[in-house]
Amino acid sequence: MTSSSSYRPGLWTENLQIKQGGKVILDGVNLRVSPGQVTAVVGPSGAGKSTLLRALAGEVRPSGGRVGIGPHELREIPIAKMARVRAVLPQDSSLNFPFKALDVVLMGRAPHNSGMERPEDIDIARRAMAYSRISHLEERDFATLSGGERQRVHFARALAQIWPNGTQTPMYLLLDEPTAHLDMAFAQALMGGAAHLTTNNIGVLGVFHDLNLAAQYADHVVVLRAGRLFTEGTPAEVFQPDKLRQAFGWDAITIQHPTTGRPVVLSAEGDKGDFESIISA
Amino acid sequence: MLAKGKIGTGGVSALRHPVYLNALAVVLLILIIVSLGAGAVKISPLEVLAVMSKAIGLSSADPEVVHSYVLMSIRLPRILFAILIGSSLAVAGACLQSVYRNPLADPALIGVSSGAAVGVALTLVMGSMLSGTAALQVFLGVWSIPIAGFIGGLAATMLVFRLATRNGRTDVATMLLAGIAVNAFCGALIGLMSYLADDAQLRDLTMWSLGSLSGANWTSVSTLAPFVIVGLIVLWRSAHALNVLLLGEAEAFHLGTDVNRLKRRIVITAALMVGAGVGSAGIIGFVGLVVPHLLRLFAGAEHRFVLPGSALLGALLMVGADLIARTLAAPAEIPIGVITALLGAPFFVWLLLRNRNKWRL
Amino acid sequence: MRSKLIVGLTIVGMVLGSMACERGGTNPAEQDASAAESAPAEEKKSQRIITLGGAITEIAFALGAGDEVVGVDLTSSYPAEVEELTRVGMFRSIGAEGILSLTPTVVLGVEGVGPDNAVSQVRAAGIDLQVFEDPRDFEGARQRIEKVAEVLGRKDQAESVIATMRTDYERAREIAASSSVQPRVLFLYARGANTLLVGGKNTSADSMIELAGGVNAVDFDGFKPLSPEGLIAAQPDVLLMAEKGVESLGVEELWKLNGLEQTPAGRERRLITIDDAKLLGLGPRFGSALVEVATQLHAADGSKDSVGER
Repeated sequence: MTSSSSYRPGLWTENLQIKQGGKVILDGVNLRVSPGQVTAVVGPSGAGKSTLLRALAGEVRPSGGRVGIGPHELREIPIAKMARVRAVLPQDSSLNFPFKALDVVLMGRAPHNSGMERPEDIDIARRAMAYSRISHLEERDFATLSGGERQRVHFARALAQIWPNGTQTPMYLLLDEPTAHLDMAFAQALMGGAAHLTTNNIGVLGVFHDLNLAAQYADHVVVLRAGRLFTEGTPAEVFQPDKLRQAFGWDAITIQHPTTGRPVVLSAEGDKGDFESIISA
Repeated sequence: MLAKGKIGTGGVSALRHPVYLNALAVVLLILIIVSLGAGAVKISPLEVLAVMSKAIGLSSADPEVVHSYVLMSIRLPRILFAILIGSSLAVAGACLQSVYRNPLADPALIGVSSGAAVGVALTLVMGSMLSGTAALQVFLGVWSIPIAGFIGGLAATMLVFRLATRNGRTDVATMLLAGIAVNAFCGALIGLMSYLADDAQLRDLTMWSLGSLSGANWTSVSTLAPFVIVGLIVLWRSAHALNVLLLGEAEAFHLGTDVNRLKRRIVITAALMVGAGVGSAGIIGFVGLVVPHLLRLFAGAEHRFVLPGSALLGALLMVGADLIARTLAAPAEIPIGVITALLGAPFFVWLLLRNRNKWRL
Repeated sequence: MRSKLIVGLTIVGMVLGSMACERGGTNPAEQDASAAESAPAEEKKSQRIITLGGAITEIAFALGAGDEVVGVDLTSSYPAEVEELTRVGMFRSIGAEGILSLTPTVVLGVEGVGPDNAVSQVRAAGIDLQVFEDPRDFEGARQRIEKVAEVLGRKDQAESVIATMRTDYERAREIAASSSVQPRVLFLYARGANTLLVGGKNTSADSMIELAGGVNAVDFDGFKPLSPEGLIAAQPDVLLMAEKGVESLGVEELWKLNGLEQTPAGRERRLITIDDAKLLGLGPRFGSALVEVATQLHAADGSKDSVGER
């Protein structure tokens, strides 16, 4: 049972500590992914963002603290059950296998049908592909797709896994650098689609390198630095030059997007370090 | 299975599978019939028909006694034996290739074959030295060799598995290395036993390691059948999970698969089937390697096709190889391991050349 | 899925159905049993004999039954007539169907005919398959010839074969007894440089050595791989080898074997070579082989590089 607050729906960590090979990757992290919201996790490289996502996905056990969904800790929940309310879009799926794209998406329905696909599963898979704007790839051999196309197939698979079933059960979508291989238009399509899911009581967590994408879509931003929570809040609160300098060691300015009103983060001047002195030394 | 009719427009791949499988089944049935009619003893097709129809009580004809014996007690059990061995090797190979995500995975890699060999060698060589084992052998009788093979194969597999598992996670790369180590150790043990063996035992051991179906009779078939049938059923039920496993272990976990439990189940079941088979028929290579590859070439990695397809094609291959082994040098018999190697090796090379740039697991 | 089910059910059905059939007694041996009682020994009439093992083949031919032999195994090399005969494979790995396809009336084999399953199948098909224990001495060799003769109905011929064998045998024993020395003999089995085995106690080579008036240079049982140290420790005076063994190695290579030059046999290059089957088979040529060995073993002036005479 949650100790610090009464039961609220969400995918949460409490004082999370993760150690790997003796090294502390995350320490004392408190986080909540609420259904109906997009939560972004940002931070410099090595801050522990991916590890945090994996802990929330149940892949990594905490060495200290707790992680759970709703009233239960993850370790109490059977793997198969977790799969019905939580989908993950991994950063890198370099595996190559001769399946049709539709078959790959259909695998997303596995937690719900124990192996025998029903007509409704096919229907959902098709709709997930339409949602991801990849219906035209249905019959294509996955191994022949480009990196971006594969990413979108995986996205459709994750969608199919937590496709809204009308019961308003809170479900969660975890995205690890989801737009890495995508060009601008597709990146927007994917994030737009993910963000829209929140209207179906789905909580979305995204790990981002691209701060502007986070700023554009997140309701709540969490900044990690060296394994600890540095700051959190709305994009406007978090993306401030002094905080960005402290967290990233980066000189940035923020302006306001003319249409969305959301912060846009830009580099102040560029790195004007002592390059010349090194060359001519 | 994405059965036709139920899914309707569920993708071309779904519709293709029943056609291929039906074709394989038909070819297998034909090959069984041809194989029944062929051998050192000349029996006409009409006589084959007469004997078979008498056997199932359809006719009261009186075919020649020796021919009836050859068909029912020599050829038929041998063909069934070939089917059991062929299907178990091929399906075990297919599953291990998916678990290891390595197209070169073969039952031999997880230590099953050499472990089974140690079990059998111990029984053959030490059985007479240690009175306890000899008594056990007499007690178990004809079951003693397949069971020795199964126990040896299982023990070696468990050793490999334990070496590669830490904190409940089994690392596939370590498993491959552990397999190599265990294989080497078993090889040394067999070498030791070859040294201790007297000539008769040594010859038995050598003959056995070449692989032969000449030990087939109704008893050995019904001894092997339960191991194979149970194994095939368990592996078939893991087909969908194996599909998902191909996405990657993390992804499979996200989709609700207990990956470690799955791996353990596959490896132990493979050990069960193959260990018993190796104990009965010796070491027969290439079937587990070549058959699944061939199938994936035609219809992708969908396990609900590859597994039954492997069973059928593996059985087909063994029945065919046995046919050759029995008829090529008649009245002498060629050890079947030699045939599968002669057929399998060049075929494997062809597969490699064809697929250098194609998909990999 | 459906097709797999069909095949699976067919297999299960066949297994169960045929198991039931087997119990129904399609066993020709059982059916023949009643017939056999009314037909006493008619062996002398046109038999079809299969012989498995070089020694048994030789015996069959020596007894005059060569014309009736329809099949031999791969180890049968003497007499020359066997080259024309059908080969049924190695006696240790026969095929039941192969044997049956020659429609034999009787199958005779040396110790070790196998595999067991094939042997039972041949017998269950109603064929008389008899296996004879390997002999270790003259008595054993004699008894084997007599037993084979009984099965083939050629007891008279057996007498003369045994008589010849006995004459040679006794001659060999005389030679052995007349010598005051018992040379140390090492039997080496060779198939190329990678297969070198020494014949220890309880082998047919050992019997030949002892009967020819020598003493086996090694103590252990059975055939074991050659080790240079073991060779030196054995200190053989003479090497005994089968012809094929020497051929596979080459005589010069033989004398270069590690450790050999530290032994009397190696220093003086004393080698006795005999035809393989003759030396080790303990068949009808047993006596003649023994004479050869004994003669060369106790040759008056231990000549070097002696090569066996045929």
